[in-house]
Amino acid sequence: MNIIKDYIFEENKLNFNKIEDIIAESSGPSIDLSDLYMQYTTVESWTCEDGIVKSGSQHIDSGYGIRSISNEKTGFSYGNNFNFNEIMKAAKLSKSIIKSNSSQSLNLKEYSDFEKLYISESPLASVTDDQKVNFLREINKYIKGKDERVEQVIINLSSSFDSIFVANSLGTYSFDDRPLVRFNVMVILKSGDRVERGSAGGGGRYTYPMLLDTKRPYELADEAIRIADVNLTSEPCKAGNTTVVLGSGWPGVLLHEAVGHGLEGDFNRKKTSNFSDLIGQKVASDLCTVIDDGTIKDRRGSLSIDDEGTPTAKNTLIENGILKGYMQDLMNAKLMDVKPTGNGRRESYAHLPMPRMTNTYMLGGTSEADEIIESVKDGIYAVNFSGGQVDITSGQFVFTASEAYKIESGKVTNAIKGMTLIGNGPDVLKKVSMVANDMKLDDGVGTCGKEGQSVPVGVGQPTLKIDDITVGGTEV
Amino acid sequence: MSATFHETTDKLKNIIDGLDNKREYEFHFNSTDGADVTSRFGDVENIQYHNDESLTVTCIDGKRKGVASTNNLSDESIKLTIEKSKTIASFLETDEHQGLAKDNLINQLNIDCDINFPKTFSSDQLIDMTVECEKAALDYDKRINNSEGSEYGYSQSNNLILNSHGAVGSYSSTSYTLSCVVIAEENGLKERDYAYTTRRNFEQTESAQAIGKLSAKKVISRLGAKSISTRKCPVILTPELSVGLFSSFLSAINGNNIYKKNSFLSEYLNKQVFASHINITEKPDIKEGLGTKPFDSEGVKTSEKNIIEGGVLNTFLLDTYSASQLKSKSTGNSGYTNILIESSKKMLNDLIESVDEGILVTEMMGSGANMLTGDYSRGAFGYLIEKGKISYPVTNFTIASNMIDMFKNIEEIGNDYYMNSKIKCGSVMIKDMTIGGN
Repeated sequence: MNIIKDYIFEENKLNFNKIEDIIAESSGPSIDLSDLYMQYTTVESWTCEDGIVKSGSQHIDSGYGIRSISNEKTGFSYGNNFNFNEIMKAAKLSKSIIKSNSSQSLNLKEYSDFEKLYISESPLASVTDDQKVNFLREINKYIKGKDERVEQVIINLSSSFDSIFVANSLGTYSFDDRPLVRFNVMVILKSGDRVERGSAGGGGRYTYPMLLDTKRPYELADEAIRIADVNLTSEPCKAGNTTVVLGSGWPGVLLHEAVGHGLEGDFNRKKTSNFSDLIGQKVASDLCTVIDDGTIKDRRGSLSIDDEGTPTAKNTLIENGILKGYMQDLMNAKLMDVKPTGNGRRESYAHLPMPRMTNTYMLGGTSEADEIIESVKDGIYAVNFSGGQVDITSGQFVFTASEAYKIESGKVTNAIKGMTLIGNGPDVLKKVSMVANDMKLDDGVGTCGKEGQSVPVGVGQPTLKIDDITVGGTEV
Repeated sequence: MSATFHETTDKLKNIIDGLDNKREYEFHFNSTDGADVTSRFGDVENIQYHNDESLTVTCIDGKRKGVASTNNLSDESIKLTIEKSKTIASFLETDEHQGLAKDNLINQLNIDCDINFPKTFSSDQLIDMTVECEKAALDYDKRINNSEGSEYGYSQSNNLILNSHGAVGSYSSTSYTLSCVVIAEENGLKERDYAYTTRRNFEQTESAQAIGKLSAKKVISRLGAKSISTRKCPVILTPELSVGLFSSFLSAINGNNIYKKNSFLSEYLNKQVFASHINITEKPDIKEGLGTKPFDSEGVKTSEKNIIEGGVLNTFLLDTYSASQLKSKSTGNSGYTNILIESSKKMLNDLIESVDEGILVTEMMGSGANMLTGDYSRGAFGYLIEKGKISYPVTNFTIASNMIDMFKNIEEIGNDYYMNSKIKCGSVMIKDMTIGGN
């Protein structure tokens, strides 16, 4: 069921003729594109802490956003009241960026034969509240029973259900329902006078049973304990340049920051990215093929259609080191005279769409992961990262590892702490000298921020070797 | 305050008064109006109009706490939200520490605390300001050849708290922000930098010209950055970055991190955290202060306090829940207000002159501040200081230490106060940090 279609339209006496009137009001001869986005989102979150399931919350956010685009100009207005006259007022306001009063009538057709990549059901109602509470209690008991050094456990189960409607002056409208589930566990272990933390999580676009009825939550709990345990014996990290092997899966977040953002259409239209004007040129080593794929079933970063109604796609960004294309939304695709790629995303009705990543990953190569480690005399093996940031203009990126080890004479040895990687996206990609055949996507916890807007994303990569990169740490 | 905010206040007061007295309830209502304008290369690029409202209902039922929120303020929706908070509470487990704020509650509506300066603009006025700001940047130097534009935003917010123990409080505030982001290029290498100003009162914002010029000056000074070798040396953080360091400190003494033992400062109450010349004070009622608030987000009156005195940590920042966990009382710190960082030493006008060899750090990247262990390791951009003078820009390096050591090693604080934050402090000089380079 789509709450906009089944509930909001009815309650506010909206119909497709009225939607046509709204789009007409926001468009006109000098408007390239106008669209109306309506959204009804319910989010819930349950947390177990100190062994008590002590907090629960539910948030409902609903509203509409309407924008009018003329060349590089965008007018935008949003509100919470779905009353037709209010939306018409917003349409006028959004068009006021163009000093013209003429409007354009149009006929809207539904576009609905896109592939549905996830179930159209609310996770919130997929199990009872009692079951959610019992689940958290059980995981807590499992962790406490597993390791007596456990000092603190925080477990969170959350989900959202997002019903959207988007109609635009190109003449189409679509509905989409988007479930999203996420499970997180954080463990603090204490041993002697050292305390360390380990976290793990997973999720995707499905309902709770897809996660709760599997062993996955227990495996993630084990993983959090394992990371905290590793960090209890970690040593300070030596600063300087070295060889770094990145593990498979979540370390793909580095790719997301170091390369992904620089390949978003808006930055390249404005030529503010350090990948601007480089299509067809070599930007990475031959071993690197990078994909953004919004079409993987049930994944956190996937969307059946993007927030502008364009079906998502599997887009090759870099192929064997050659830059193939950028990620686009409708506006930037038109201005750059290319096709939209299904990457037009927005945090909510109250935010403007822009080109964003979906699931971004590097394809596997031909090496074995073990072989890569064995090839390193002296270096670092980084398997988990807590977060990162990029300056898309200079290409500079920074990452902090939450689990990393020394490599000595081809063997993984002691864990290290407080390790930061710093480098320049294209430089680092050119230094990728080995890529393993173990491509893995992350567990489904990524959230990407850009210009104050957060959207769920996925990352992935195989084990790979970077020949020379700057590492930060406290030891000289 | 707008009529609708008054109406909503009356409506919510009536509703909360009519609720059962077996449970405790708290209503938090916020509404914000405003607009944002961006111009790029002399022409308007975006105009956005904002209008948000949200109501959060907290219900405590026998030491169980449920929270529900909505942005639909119809009677029906409010009723459903209250019901939802009750349902959630009923499924949770009892937690002896749950409870709404009871003591030292606010009891005044429409409090005037000198942070509300409404002003209306036409969209053309906003566009003109951004165009002027960006032009000042683009005209500054030929090497500035691209721009992400200049943005002007203003908003007015209304804040209301009500709880069943008698908390009744509301106030309004305004905010005006102008920023500019430009890009410069030399020898094929691009750099970007920005400048911005944010104030409660439009009259106090820095001029469009000044912000444009500042962004230009900053980006030009970044050109020609070199790498640097690994070393240990003193580091000066600009006031803007010092704010970030002190906000990590404030997060580390937040009661919720303390009782969870999720802080490197959990054992430091009444102990030396900073060098003895440092004092940190919270002042909730500064005129036009970006952090000024008459009550915290639970309706407890805010109060002036010495957080750090002579380098010693006097108090944690507690809300009602963490206070109960720590067998203490709320300090009115469900959130914090204006924070003043001061030094009892003579504040230096120019810290750079006092450094023989070190680095002035002007930008940090990445999230490398571990709140549990205090380990600190971040990417940075800055300038090499040699014999008391800025020598050249340096990039692609990291700075690392542990926050316990960094706090103790703050040798000097400058009087170049940063005005765009509720944390007011100058540059800080840290005696010894590890620089990771090539």
